[in-house]
Amino acid sequence: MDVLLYGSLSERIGPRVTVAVPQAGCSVAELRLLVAGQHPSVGEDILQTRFRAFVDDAAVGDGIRLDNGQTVEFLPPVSGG
Amino acid sequence: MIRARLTSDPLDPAALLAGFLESLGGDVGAVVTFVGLARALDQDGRPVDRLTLDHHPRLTEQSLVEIAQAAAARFDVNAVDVVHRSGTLLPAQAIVWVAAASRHRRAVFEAADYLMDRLKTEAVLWKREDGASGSTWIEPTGADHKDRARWEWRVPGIDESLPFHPLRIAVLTVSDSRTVETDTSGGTLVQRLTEAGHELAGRAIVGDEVEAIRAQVEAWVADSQIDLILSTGGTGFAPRDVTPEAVKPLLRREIDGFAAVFHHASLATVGVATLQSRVFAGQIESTFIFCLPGSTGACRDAWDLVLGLELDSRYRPCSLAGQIPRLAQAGA
Repeated sequence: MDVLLYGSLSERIGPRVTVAVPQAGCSVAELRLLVAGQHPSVGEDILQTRFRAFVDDAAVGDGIRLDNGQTVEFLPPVSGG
Repeated sequence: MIRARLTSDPLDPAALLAGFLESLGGDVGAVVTFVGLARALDQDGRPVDRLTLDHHPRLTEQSLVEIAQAAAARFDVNAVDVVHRSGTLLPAQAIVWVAAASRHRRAVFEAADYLMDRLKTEAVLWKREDGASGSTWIEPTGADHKDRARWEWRVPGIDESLPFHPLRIAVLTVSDSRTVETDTSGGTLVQRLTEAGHELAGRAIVGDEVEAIRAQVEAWVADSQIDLILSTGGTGFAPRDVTPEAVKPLLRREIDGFAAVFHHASLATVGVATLQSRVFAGQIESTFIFCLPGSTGACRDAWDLVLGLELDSRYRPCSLAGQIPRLAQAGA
């Protein structure tokens, strides 16, 4: 599964990583654990829900099921101005 | 014109203002602009060499547009422009430029303030400060979130977009001497509540006698066609004043705040003499009762400054109308 990352996450493991997930897919919460396991440098952050998950430019909750082929984006807390 | 955009080019505030002014047409009397600069020192006072803004290919600009549109919808403004930097900036370079135009200055000051509070906490951008002491990703501070939260509160008042639900109100005058013709305080209450759109559901005059007052109040409480009782008179310190003694034992719950709010309002009219009134309010079964002084001026203040607002179902943040069982079901 393709995972896109921004800000502090992207700085540590790059803007895009491919994460091995079960053939049947997984939930957003499970994806967080898989990313954390495969990329320990972002593990502490990506397990926090304030690092929000997005699919097709819409925020998705931790209980949402993801298909193996979907692209998921993780956005750290934002700050402009 | 409502516009918001992201750019990796340096911002030129003077040129942006010139362009904004040129774009304005029609009835504009005020423009406010705000320029945010990249700071030379971080929160701990250490030098910052450069600031880098990471962004999302779609969500960043979408968030800027959404914030600009919300400002335009919320304030009486003709135009809003937001230009935000991405990429790498040096200290003192402009990071964000916002502008608002309106007929009136108040709206544009508020719109610019609102835009910045939301951009600080909701623009989809990630800021990193780089300096000799390392790199830090910046998140909104507690103060930023507090500034943003200010806009969650509306100014209290009548919200014309909400429905008005008439209340069925009975007016009781407590006096040994008055008749309907000479009852100016009761008359004032009747006039004001009906002009406001409420329904006069009963009117009576009783003497300053505990039993008489109580009997009338209990009869109205038992009447399902009456939501609320207003009484006037008998709340002072004259020997015959017994309205509190008659009514208070019937109260299931007291509205302590009513006396405080009434005295506060009345202070402007009669000064500290307001303390000679033992006004009170409460609930008997599900009927609300407000016991006001016998003075016409006091009844006018009580209605105009307190009850006329709080009994109006359109009052924000909330009206007592919403606590009346018949209306609570209607979502008032």
